[in-house]
Amino acid sequence: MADKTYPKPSAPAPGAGPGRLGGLDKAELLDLLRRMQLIRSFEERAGQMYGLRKIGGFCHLYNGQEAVGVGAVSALDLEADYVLTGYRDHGHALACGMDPKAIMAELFGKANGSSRGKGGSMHLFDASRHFLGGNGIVGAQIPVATGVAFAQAYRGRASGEGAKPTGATLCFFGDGAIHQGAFHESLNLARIWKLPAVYVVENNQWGMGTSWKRVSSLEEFHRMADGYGMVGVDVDGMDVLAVREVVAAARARALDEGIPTLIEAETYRYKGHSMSDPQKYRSREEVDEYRSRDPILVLKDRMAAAGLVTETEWEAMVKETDALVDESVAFAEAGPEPAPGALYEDVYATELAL
Amino acid sequence: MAERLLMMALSPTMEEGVLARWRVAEGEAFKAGQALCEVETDKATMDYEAPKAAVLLKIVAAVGAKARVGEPIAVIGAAGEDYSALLGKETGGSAGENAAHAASTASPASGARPSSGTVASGRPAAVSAAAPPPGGADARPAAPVSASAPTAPVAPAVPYPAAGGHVPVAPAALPPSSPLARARALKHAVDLRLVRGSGPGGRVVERDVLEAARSGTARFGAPPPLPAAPGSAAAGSGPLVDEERAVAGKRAVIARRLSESFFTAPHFYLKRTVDVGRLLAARAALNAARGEKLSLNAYLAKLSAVALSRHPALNAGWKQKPDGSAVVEYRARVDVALAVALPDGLVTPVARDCGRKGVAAIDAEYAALISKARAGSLLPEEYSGATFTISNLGSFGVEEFTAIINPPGSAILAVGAARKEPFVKDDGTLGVRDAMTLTLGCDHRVVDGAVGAAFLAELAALIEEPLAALL
Amino acid sequence: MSVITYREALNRALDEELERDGSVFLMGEEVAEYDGAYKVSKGLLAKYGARRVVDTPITELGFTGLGVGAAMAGLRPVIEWMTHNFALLALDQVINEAAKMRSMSGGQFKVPIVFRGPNGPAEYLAAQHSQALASYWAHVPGLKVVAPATPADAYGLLKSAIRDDDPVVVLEAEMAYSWKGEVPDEEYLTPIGKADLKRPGSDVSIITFGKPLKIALEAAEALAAEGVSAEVLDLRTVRPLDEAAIRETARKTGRVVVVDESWPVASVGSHVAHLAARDAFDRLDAPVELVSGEDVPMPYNHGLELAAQPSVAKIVAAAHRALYKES
Repeated sequence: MADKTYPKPSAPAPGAGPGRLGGLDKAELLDLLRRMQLIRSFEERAGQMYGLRKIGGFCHLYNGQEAVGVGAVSALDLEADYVLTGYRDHGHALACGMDPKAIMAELFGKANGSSRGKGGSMHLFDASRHFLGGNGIVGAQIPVATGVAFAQAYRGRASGEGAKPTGATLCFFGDGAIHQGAFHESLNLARIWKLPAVYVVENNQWGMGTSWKRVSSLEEFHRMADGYGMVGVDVDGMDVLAVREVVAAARARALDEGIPTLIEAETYRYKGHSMSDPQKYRSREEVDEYRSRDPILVLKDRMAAAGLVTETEWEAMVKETDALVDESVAFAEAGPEPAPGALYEDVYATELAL
Repeated sequence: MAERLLMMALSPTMEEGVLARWRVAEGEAFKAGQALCEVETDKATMDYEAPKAAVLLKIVAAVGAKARVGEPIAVIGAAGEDYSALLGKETGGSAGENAAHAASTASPASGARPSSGTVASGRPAAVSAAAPPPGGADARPAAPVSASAPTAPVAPAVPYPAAGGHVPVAPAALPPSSPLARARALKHAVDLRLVRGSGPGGRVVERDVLEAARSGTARFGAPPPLPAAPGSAAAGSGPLVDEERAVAGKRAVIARRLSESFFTAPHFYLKRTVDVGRLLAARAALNAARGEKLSLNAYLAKLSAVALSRHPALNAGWKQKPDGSAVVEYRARVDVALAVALPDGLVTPVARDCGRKGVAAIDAEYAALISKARAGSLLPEEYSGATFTISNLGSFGVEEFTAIINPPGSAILAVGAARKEPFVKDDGTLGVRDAMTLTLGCDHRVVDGAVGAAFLAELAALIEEPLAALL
Repeated sequence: MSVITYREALNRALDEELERDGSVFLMGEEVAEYDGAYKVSKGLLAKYGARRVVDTPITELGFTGLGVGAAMAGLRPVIEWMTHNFALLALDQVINEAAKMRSMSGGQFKVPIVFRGPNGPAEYLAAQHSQALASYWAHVPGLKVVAPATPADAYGLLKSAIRDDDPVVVLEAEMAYSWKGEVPDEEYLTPIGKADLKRPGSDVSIITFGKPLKIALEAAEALAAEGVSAEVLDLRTVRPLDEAAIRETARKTGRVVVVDESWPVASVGSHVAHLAARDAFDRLDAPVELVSGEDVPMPYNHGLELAAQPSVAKIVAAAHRALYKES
């Protein structure tokens, strides 16, 4: 077991002192809660807009997995660190602080979208927030993220071998990606070159319609880290504070020791693989069981028990995030279609010579 | 010494003729200039006159047979002369020297081999030579004949064989040609159909056109080259086509000449509606006085001639020179053609020197020419060379239309039906007039818009006040 | 002006660009301690160290994708594929990542990366190691693709590729590494997207790129001996193509022979033939000829191997067809 070979980070515990939880104060906790609720609200509305045909194509929702994205990103410094993910990217984008208006407009394919309507649901990017996307090929972001970590190490080592990297790179992917060659090649490269990479596999139990149990040689994915001499950790992906803590530890390990980490976050997606998924492969009971462990309600209840959020505050937060999503839909609705002339824009960075 | 008598072009546009009648029998002697036979051309039935005195040894093209220009129709010579070798050659190589060369190259045995059976049957060589396209779809352009030669030694080479599975090209159509050759042909006024292609599959390429331009052998209107055997009718007609008629004779000439005109002369059109009341009244009065009806077209021809003599810029024609340059030919005499619809197509008899003739003389001239045309005996010089053409579809109720210029003219007048029409008088009140719409088509290479408009204004004034023609 | 090999020209370009810009690094299999499988990177490890001249495990997908991420994060990677044959393992990272990142992000990112290595058949290497894959890259919008055929162009184009802000694939050729040519001693850049008229002529245009330039020039010489003036246009860049140069030469001579050592279907050569036909239609006196690699996997046997590739004789024969000359 990886977590026997390597020291496992301490389990999420109530933070020391009154008015704190997981080492965070009320304002920090409210921020986590709000980010998760914003994702929830956004995804519910995205699903509705998809049903109204405002959004087309593939649309993979993040409902249920909010604790992983929000908890992990909250442990980063996005001035120095980078985040990459796969196609289930709305939650990660919002967790990185991307403007929900620009995201919704992108889902609508409008010119005021974050990629000017060229990317869509699977290709959200925000260079200013070090969010490098949104990748539609399962696992393809893993070598790219490893390259971003390489750049951080390269820059850091400009002042000498052994010098610290300029930041860490966090790469999200699903349990469907861990059997791709890209994943395994990347882990090896990250380890041999001591790259500041943190790999987070979100095990939401289903790779599209295939249970991971049918296709994985290992039951505990984090043990795959063993094969590459990295640290492997598993964490309850429904617990935002727990996720935050293991990511913080992994980031420190990456920056200080040059040891990359593979974190397995067990979580669950409430919705189908994509909006076109009939979900025949799983039961309503299974979904309900996970909903009873809803990451947002779990945090809210713990905060309420600790006197860190009132029902009034909670209701106001829901209202505020709903309003922001309303505003995002209005922004997307009002956005212009891309001009036909945009077709050939942004294909090349430099003008073609001809 | 015996020789083959070849079909000649009996009209400027003739490409093939049908033997209508032999006036001299086999074995009979004839004098130079004597009519040997009658040939139905694209426009009329013409006499074929003997080029020299001799004896008609053998008729090759029997009555009803088609012969393309250059194909043998008979063998002539001295009485009793042995002409069998000539027959062999003409059968094996009836498509002419080009093809004979290709055929002999491909199959040396075929060249001298007589095909008396074919000839003896009395079927014309051109028909018997209608072999399937050599090699069919499998034919490689490099060796179009060799594939068919062993099994069909008498089949002539086809200068433009269907290669690569293409639909066989009818001989009258454009031969395969490179885009550059076509561009050069346009520039040098070379008729691609008259050029022998030296490329694969008979493709006409640039050097062929330039050579033709230098030698002047393939100007538009020059006699066609030694012919190709027609391709077989292998082109599958679609299931929705009920009947396919080969385009030949007059139809082919109309198609070609008018296509040439339309696609080489930049046309523009000027339209004007005139009050034809006075002209109709004058015509009625004259008809009553003379006891004979003169056609409105004769009046229009006369008035057009007057107007042309006052606007000589239109009494002209564009002429392309072999070297690629061009001239505009201006004429003193005004010859006016009249488009006449006959059951088998359009003819354009020409009334000569209309400026000097009266309406009655013009009318009589047209009437005589039209009756000759109906009889199929209109001569080439009687339907060609006009500078100006009138086409009148008024009798069909057509109010106005545009017409295609009849080369070598530079303008054509399309005349619509005379009809009663309300109009606003100068004093602002409404009146009724006899309106007729004229549409003048001009060749912009020769005539500019203002020039054409001035002419049309003149013509309109003459029609509205015919007495002005006396001025 | 010095006479140096194609290999030395590439080495000089790499050396100068590593020297000039600290964000440039070279990565690939055997590029560092082994001095490069084809010695293109000879001496660079010693000069720039292991941080900037990086040996990789045999993991084309991994290090190609890593290069894309590094480029997105602001570095200028030069990724060496030992050969383009092995780059097929990395197709996803080139086509789905490098080429599309800018468009998918609405212009938020540049991906200034160079992918380079030998392309096309060498000798006795059989099917998996002898294939010309220009079309694979040239097909993809978002990529630029250059194919230098001379030491001078190899130097100038590689330097341009490294400085370009878009992903550039460089098609080198194993057989060309030892070819010699004059290279100016002063520094210069060869513009991407500009063809070069390597030999002017008037009767027939031979249009090619990359390694076959050599036999195209030899064919032009053979044609000259029989009185045919052949023009040889070296495209140098196959994406974006210099359409104006193709148009100009095709319209000038009216006869076009395209030479591309790739397989014939959906190739750069077939596209060039399309452009020539489209843009010079009224000036063409013959169908556009394409001399391609034969449509078969490359055999090992040397005779068959040669027969599978464009040759001087094949080019001359194609020129004859275009000229309606007997061969």
